[in-house]
Amino acid sequence: MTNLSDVLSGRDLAGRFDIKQLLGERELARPFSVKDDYLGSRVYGNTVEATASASPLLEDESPFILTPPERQSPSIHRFVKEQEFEGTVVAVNEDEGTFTARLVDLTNNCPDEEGEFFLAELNGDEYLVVPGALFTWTIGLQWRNTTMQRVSDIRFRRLPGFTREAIAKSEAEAEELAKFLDEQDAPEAFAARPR
Amino acid sequence: MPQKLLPPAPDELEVSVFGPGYGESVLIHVGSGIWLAIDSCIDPVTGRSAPLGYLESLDIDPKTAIDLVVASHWHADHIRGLHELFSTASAAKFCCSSALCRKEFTALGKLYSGGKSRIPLGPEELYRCLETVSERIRTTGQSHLRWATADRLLWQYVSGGTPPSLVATLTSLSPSDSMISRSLKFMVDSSAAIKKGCVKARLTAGSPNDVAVALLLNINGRKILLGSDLEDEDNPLFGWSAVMSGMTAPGSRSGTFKVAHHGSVSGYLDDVWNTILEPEPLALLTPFRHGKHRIPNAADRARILSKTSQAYISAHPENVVRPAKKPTKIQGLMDGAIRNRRLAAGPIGHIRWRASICNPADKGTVDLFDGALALLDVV
Amino acid sequence: MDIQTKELDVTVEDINVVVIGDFNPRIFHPMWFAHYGLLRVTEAEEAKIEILHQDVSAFAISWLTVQVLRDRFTVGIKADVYQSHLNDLVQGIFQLLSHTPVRQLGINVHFRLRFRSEQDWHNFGHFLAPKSPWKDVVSQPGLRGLQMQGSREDERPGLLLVSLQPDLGKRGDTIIQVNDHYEMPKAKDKQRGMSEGAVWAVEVLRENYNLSIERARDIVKYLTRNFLAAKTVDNGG
Repeated sequence: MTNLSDVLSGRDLAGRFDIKQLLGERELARPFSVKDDYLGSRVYGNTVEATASASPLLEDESPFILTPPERQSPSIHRFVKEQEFEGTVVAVNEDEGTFTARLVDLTNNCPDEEGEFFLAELNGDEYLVVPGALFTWTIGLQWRNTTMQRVSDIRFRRLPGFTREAIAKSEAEAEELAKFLDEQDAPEAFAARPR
Repeated sequence: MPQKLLPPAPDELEVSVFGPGYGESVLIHVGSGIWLAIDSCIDPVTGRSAPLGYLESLDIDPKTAIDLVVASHWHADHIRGLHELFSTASAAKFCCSSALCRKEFTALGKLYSGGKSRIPLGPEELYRCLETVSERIRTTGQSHLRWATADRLLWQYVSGGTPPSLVATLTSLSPSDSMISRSLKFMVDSSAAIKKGCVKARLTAGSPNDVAVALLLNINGRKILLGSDLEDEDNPLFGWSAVMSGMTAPGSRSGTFKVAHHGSVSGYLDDVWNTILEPEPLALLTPFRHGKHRIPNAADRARILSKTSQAYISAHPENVVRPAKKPTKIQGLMDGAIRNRRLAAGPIGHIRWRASICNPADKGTVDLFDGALALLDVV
Repeated sequence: MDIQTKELDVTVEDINVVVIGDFNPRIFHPMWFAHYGLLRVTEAEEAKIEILHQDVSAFAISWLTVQVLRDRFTVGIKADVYQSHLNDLVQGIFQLLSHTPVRQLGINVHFRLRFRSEQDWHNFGHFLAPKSPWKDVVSQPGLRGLQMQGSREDERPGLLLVSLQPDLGKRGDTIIQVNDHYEMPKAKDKQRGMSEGAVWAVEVLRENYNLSIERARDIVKYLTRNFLAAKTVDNGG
């Protein structure tokens, strides 16, 4: 768990607040009294513990009053794509420290390409590199905070596996098709008609 | 009119092999305006199924001209654009290995047809073809599907007249029962891995190829052996050995061979060349350039050329084609990330052989288009 | 009024997925995401944690923000280049938390339209909201906001909401938000075998995420195309 005091240092968070106002007019799991209760947290070393108390806290245990923030913006707030590929891993070349990939050009109507990429330049995606793995490779102008620069970003897809339900649904539909086709094998060779 | 755009005469057979470096498709005119298509690959320039583009360039309507589409197996290099081809050929019937009509395979096809990737894998392309077959059967009430297994007559044509001027048959030589069983095991294992959440990437093809459909085409006694990606493992229950052990007396031999598995050593069986092919057959093949694989390699080429000097390949197996450079500001960053950037496939590469149907002694002519070359010229 | 409009710039400013249900915000620590392979470890380690609390958690990494309240889960990006990764992440989360009660899901895209001139900007407002009906009602009527509701053409319960307002802080800009809202089918409407809860949410995302975003882009494209093709607008004059 995070040490809130480290995270929130410098923020002005003192004071009692109205939890209902804070979180909107919603049914909350735990009922409370608006007038006397406040929800806060105490920080003990590196742990955070939620409290709900009807009584004032001791001065040295003054709670942080936490306001759910508006959604922050990620530091990358704009990216103008100049070139984008969808890549598929064809082979992993361990001895060379590379992998070979096939690339589909998503930006231009150009033929598929291939090439080798370095495993060491994947920023933590290395373990995802197996034959058949998908990735995006994007080159373009990236705005990160106040800085703009042209970057090349290779990012592997963390594809969710197929759900049990999706598998069951596919199997059911596929079985229906297979059962139908099973009965459709032409009893004799096809005879082409004269043109 | 340019030579390439002249359609074959009604009494002229044609075997066209397309292969841009990654991908293979065979289109055959058996005579009388009747065409058969085996597999599909994409023309990198048009993005369309190569056989469709070729027929349209000859001003031939694929809707009525293509009588049969065969999916010799489901691997990506033989299947891209197959659904487009089969949907367009609205009069065509469909053949594939019986293993691919089983629920173990169709479930994989259905799952992967969710389409996370731009490039179809194989199972989903074939699944869509099977759905289309199903629709055609329901709509017309007629049979549109015949499974391919060892020694099965799939298709035939007998022209009018007494005697008929044209008799053509297409027979599947594989897969054997053992191949079908083993391929089903692969599919079951793949499904089990998916259920365990082990597989999140694309499905990769198993090896050896247990669903490959090798075919024998007979046009007025002239035989053409179409090897698909059938391999051999020196076991009479599998691959080419199973084909050879299952064959009754071969009768006449084939004078033309679409070489199996891109000319690789795993697709080679001496017995095939010595027993069921004529000496010095016409050998047609496509290369396989995928990642670091380069087939046929020098040894493969030497082996084929030791059997026949009449060998042609649809594209150079080793030359890479550099793609066009991007704008400088982008190219610089790309060069920092990728090594050996190359086109995955070159121009479509087209070998075309035409010969007289009426004259079995006619050796015919071979035309080479878009980078296709004689195997002797590969250096 | 006759008009001659110049082209305008359209950019995607935000794509977010909002899930309404019952959550435990406390668990959504960046390292939890990294542990399950949902985010890079390096990104999780460098995350800017705004808060981690049993009622609200929020953090940001370079390309993504996460905010979780007890009844609302929001994940969003600003740069649409990460569109597919956002989908992967949300699906991955709710596959892991497959028993989470989920009731609604929204796939939302925000666009910024930048007009070449302030007059074009005003004209867009006149195009969407003709002023003649207002001219005897208020003086100098001006559009402050517009919201249109529509239905999707699939069988899933829910609606489409298109909201539009001029950016008064940046004259010449207009914000359009397209909210594609999905309701989990009610018990009486559920067909046999239809998914529920988090499983339903994953299914919706798997089948509709890309469609939703394309639909949002199309909506903005049609609105702007129709505007650019217009020869006159009703400015009440």
